[in-house]
Amino acid sequence: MALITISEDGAGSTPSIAAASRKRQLKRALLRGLLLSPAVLLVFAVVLLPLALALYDSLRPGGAWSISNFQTLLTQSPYTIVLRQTFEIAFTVTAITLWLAIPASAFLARQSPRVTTIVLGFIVASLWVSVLVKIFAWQVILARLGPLNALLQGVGATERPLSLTYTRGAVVLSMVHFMIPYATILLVAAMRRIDWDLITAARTLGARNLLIFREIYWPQIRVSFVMTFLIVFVLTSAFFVAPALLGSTSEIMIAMQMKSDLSTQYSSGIPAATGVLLTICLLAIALVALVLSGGSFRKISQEMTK
Amino acid sequence: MKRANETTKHQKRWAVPKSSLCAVALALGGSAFMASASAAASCHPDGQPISGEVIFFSSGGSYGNAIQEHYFEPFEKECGVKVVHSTGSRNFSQLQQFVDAGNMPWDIGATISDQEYPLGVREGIFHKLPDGFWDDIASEMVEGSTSEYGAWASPYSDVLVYSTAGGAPAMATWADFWDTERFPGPRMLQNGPMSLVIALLADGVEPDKIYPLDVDRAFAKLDEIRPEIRAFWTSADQPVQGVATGEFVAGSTWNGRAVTAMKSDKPVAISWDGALLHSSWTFILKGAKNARNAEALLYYMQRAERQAALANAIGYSGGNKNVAEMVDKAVLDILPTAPDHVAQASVIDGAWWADNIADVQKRWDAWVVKQ
Repeated sequence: MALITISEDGAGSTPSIAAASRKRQLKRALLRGLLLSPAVLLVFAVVLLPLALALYDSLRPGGAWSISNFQTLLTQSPYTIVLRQTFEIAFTVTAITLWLAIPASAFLARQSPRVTTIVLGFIVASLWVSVLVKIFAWQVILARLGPLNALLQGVGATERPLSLTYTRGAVVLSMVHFMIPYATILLVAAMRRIDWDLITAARTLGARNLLIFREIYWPQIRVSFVMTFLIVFVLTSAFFVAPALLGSTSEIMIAMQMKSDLSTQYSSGIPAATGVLLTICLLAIALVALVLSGGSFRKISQEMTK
Repeated sequence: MKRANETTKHQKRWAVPKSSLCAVALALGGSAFMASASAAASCHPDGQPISGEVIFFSSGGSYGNAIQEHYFEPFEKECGVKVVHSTGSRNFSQLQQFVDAGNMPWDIGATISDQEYPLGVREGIFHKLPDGFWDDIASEMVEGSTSEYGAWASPYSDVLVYSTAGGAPAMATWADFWDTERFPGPRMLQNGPMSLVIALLADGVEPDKIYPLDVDRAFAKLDEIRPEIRAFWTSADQPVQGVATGEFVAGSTWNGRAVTAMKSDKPVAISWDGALLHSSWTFILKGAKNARNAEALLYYMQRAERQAALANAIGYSGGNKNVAEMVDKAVLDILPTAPDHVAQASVIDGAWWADNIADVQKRWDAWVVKQ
């Protein structure tokens, strides 16, 4: 806005003032470029460049152009199985996380700002606990001789201790536990921006709850909901610690496979292809999610910048 | 200025009467070395003086602290060469890059996998030791623990760990691990092809006849036990904790982790029969800036009394046979390089694994996810 005002001021004035205004405009453009450049350089250096290198690596097995690495990934064991398991676990975890986080966030967003701030503070503080510590805690809690089994036996739910660790349930449980704070923080932030006057207005006009939800509530949190879904999904599909320490062979996820390949194959072709494939899959899922959420990228970005 | 400060601190720390140092060293049984120790110049086996510094790279941690205290600090004191201890993580291709670029951030370090040593020798990235380097101490060393490119660092073993809870009978061999009638219950093996060696040992192959490894036979034997393997570990703590908490009746693990649990009175025990002795080697990078100092340090690290001190501290030692007579019985019981344990062990053939790991690992990965 400021820039336009200045150039309008400059128009029609004496040439020297116009020149000065152009100079000022150039200076601002330079400053803006300068301020943006670290971020642009960072994204280039740590996102785009490595991705380009990985793409190159993945397409040059044995020094010649070939898509054989991708064929291996999509047709051969263990990759097919590991990819399937990765997405199964990521979807399960994301669904449960959102299912648990949404009602909690909706409730929290309606409390007084003070209460919300305090509770959010506790949630943020829980992120200080390293993921490794959380996983070790689950190992202890779920152990055969651990407190949960003691409780189950104590109330007579089971006779003998259950094997709870090294199962799909243990992996999902620990990952949900880790992801809920992220989902809650994002959702509460979105839900606090909801304009409740609109809902009151709709109610006075006789709208039913379902209609209010569909036409007024949902459109206001839709974008944030999709973003939360994507962030949780992306983080869970790249998870390493939980499946490695609490899972069995049915819980081997793609990050574990990449680590194993990198340390034993002495070539980065397959791991690079895995990274590229994972990026493509996640981009595709993001695209589908954004389209399903009812808007093109442009609309959504406009909505977000509003 | 900084260097001057360091020197003063260094001198102050070691401002102990020389005679008492000699007494201590003599008491530790290192009398043969005292001539060289008092004349600080000849820590190198060729008797020529050394000076300056040497940079040792390790992964740090409690092991790093122990070698700092029991190898590097006495070496600095006796040999007059400063040891800069650099710590961090690295991989094999970095070593190749260092040597190719002729620019090495450190001089001497230890291998981090079984394959690294034979690969490094093959790729020509290790510094070749002078002829006859080991001659004077050859009789003290376990056979095969020294070579023209290095010496054993602190080998470790994969051992059988089993539960002793409720007076469970003791397992002795990998064949017992496969015996689900006498020892019923879930088990745990490593998610990695080293489990193939364990399968062959269970199938009755002699520990020294494992290589060349019969991969088909090993997988066939693993298929037998597969239903009883509830999970495959990725961290060596998992089997120890699992056995200690009753999750599993037995597993394979690294000796150090099991010993820690035994010391804290957990109901676990280990068997050294059929232990997989992993070769870990101290080597010098080819073209290292301080190669002669590094040679001297490598030589120094083979002293029995130094290795005994390390063993007493953290339960790992090197290839010097005389260590067995210098440490407590309790320490000897947990030492992977104790002569009794080496005699029962299957020494990992790094060269075979270097050639075959890529293929075998692929087959393993496919086998392990098979439902």
